[in-house]
Amino acid sequence: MMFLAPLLLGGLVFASAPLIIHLLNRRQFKLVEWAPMEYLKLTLRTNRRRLQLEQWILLALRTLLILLLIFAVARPLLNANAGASWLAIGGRTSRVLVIDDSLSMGLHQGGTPAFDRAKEEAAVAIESLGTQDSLTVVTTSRMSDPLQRDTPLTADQAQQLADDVRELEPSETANNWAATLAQVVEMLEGAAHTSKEVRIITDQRAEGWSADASEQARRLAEMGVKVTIVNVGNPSPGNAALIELEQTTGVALANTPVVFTATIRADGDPQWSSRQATLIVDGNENPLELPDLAPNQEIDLPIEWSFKEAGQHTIELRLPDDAMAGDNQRSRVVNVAEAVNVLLVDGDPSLEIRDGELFYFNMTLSVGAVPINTRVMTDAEWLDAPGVGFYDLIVLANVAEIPADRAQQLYDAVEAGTGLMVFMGDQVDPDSYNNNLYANGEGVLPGRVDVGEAIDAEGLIVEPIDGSVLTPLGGLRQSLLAQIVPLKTAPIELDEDDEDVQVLARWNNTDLMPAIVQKKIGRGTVLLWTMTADRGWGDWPTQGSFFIASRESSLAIAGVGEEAGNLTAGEPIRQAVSTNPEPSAAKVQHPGEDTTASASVDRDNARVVYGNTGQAGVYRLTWDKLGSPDQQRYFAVSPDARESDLNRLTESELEQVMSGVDLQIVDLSGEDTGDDRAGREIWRTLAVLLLAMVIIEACFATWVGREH
Amino acid sequence: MAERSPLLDPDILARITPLGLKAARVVEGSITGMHRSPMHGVSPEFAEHREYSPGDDVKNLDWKVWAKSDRYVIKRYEEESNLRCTLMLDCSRSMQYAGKNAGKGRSKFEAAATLSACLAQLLMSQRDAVGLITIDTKPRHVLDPKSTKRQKAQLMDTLETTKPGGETDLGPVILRAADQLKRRGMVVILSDFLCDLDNLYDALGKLQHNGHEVIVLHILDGEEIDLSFNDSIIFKDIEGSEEVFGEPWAFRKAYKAAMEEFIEQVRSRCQFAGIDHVLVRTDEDMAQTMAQYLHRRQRIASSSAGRGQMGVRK
Repeated sequence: MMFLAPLLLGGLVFASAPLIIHLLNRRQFKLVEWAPMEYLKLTLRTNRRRLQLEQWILLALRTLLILLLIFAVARPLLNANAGASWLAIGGRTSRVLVIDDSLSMGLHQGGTPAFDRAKEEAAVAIESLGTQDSLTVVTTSRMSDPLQRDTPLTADQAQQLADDVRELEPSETANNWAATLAQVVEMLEGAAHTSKEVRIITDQRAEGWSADASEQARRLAEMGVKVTIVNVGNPSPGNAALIELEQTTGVALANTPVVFTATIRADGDPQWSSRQATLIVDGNENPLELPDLAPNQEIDLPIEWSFKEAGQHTIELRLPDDAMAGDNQRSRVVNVAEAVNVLLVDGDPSLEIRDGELFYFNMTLSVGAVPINTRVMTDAEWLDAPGVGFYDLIVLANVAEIPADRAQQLYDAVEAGTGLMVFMGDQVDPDSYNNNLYANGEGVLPGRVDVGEAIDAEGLIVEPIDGSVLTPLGGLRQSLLAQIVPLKTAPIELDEDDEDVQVLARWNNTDLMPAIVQKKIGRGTVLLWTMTADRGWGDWPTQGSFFIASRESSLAIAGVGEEAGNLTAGEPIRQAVSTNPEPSAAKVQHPGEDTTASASVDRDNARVVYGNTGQAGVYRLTWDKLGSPDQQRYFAVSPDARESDLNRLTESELEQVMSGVDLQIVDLSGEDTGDDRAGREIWRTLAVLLLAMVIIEACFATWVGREH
Repeated sequence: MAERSPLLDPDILARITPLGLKAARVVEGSITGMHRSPMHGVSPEFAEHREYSPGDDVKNLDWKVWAKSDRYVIKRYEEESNLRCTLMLDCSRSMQYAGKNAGKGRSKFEAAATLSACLAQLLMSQRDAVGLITIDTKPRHVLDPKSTKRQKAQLMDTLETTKPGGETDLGPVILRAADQLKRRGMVVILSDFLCDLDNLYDALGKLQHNGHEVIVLHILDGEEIDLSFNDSIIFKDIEGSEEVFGEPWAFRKAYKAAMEEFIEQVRSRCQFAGIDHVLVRTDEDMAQTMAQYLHRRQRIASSSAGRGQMGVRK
């Protein structure tokens, strides 16, 4: 038997108090010279056994009372062998055991990581399970893939499952308790028994306990589910975390410096073992000196690297060790291109190149040091293609209509990092744009557009926004911007509450109508120009300022698309593949492992999907393609930076979140003692026993104290 | 005039004096004429008149008084004694116990001495002869029954100066004392009777056999009967060295039953032998106890007189 507060067991010495009091009472007596001694002795002789028995029972009761009290406050834990199952009240129960294997569970403080304690606690819980109960065991990183699903276990099966649990490794995922509890609710809705219990073993970090979790808790309460939360978290030490490794350069090109920004945050004193980080590029380690990092400071560290060849490269940054190694590394897949790939979709093509909708725009991309590959398609050709294609930038100019499915593909591409520019024109059907591209704010368009109308404006006003893609225009003389005179513009109605939408430039008229509007979606950016890309609605495309604006903004928003393969732990790998024919096999090799796992082929969306990405590192996906060598692509999975926030939820906050639930919180946190302190808390049973003992003692003492 | 003894409790005297203490049987000297004076030929000195009571010989009636006042009175003479009463007072160590609820804080011995003094006063006021024997391991003081003022002073002085002490085995000592009682009379034994009862019964039987009327005043403290303690107690044998620890409430009922059985045993044995047994609790009103007893004696005597019989035991 283990105790959560073993120091309090020192109080067991008080168990001798009744005996001491009894002996002291014997010293507090009156001496009486007695005459009828014969009758007194006769009485005592005939009653001695009864008197002694009563005294011993009373002494035993009082000693037991104190023992129980000390045991209860020392919070004993029983495992199955110690009778936890016997003490457990209730019949057949469907039990769900949720093991938090998020990144923060890897935290250790000179002792056992929280996850090791969690595994042992879970293993003991499994071993102490009654054979009449059915059990589901899941980890938070793989809720949809339980280790065990609602089945009763024999003793051997339970032992095997406990051994499997002991072999688990923590993931680098973040917790989303609302989603986790929602899945627990689903599991329990179809559970075998009416009595239901959930045991969650976690480090009780505040991150992930959103208000939505309360809604799921309410559902659990309605189902009458008993919830036990076992807190195995270590105290929060100082921790340094690499919370971001961003590719600052939009498109990585061969032999061109690519800039990355590493964001490092210290919570408390990180107590690094050294000041040297390691930058690993394509498997080759390079030392990297770190600047000083004060406690609770966040720094952006620029890292520059030139890749010699085009293709997929991997870059990984590892900080020195600290108490939580999981968030000290991040990796990226860098898709180094020979040139920036831009697709120009001409909605009003012409036989005469100069009359083409994107003639001027194309010109702006064809000069300069950065190699840019442009492909021009008519809108009809583009709409006939199976997808939006793999481009760093897609430019739609005066395209009349965008079907809903193509609008969705555009959205997915932008979300994955592809840049998108939309120029208006006379052919544009506002209804199609608003219904499919704007889609009530859910699409790529930053606002509701209307047909073009004449505008009386003189010049362009660039909004002073930090990091605006139009910043280069700020370096121009105002007279150059004043020369920009639009003839028509497409009015746009913006949703002012949408923080992802910004007006970067306005026409200089009385209404200051938006000229260029930006919308951020996921990793991508959309720029809507409320003008045409040709001279249809003004002659700005013929001016130098347009050259600068269009080229610089193109290079700024041109990004890597879905194929870039930079993911957060737990985010599924999705790789578009040819389905004519579809791959017969797709395999994923996990970081640092030689074995591979099978990925599934999603025929409907023409892609391969693999969900088990809880571990951070570089994954290699391979699939076969008819008539071609096996295809391969790397995916860099980084830890979820949210897990670096080590603030903990207090018991009262947790009770508030789980309001209404029959909740028990077991605290196994604190300094690691090296003990196996896992099992079932029995303080409630002891409390009931204690109350019963108090009543029994009082009744018995009254009975003994009566006249005999 | 001698100083009044502090042992003479006015409450007790006030209650018992009107009732008087009369012999329940014919004893030597109780009837004038049956007592043959040893001083033959010498006229006895007239002492007083007293009311005629059944059992008195009619030849002792003072007819002159009857002629004048129509009252029956008997002429008493100095040398004549109606009753010879010997008070046997237990002065063993066990008699020195005084419970916290005892009346006037009296120990059992003080209660017994008070009762002895009051009875002596009563008897002497009836012109009866009173003697005293104090006993523990042996008869300590022996005063032969007399009815003189000197005797009274001596008796009171003895009662006041005697201190209880020493062990006792009441039976053999009473036997020895009984041998010293030359003439039949009344013997009043005042003791707690915490002794060997078989020996006691033998001694009482011997007194009975010798023709004495025996009255037993069984004197106990209320605490000895009820064990009314609320503390843990170490009971030390008052006449020995043995000590016993006990929490009285744990065995009070059993003890009370044992004590009641003891009292009942003494009472029933006395009753069987025709001996009056009076339980005197020092925590209760002794005047009331004695008055009730004397009243009961009086009623029994009256009913016997009504039947024209003496309380003579065969």
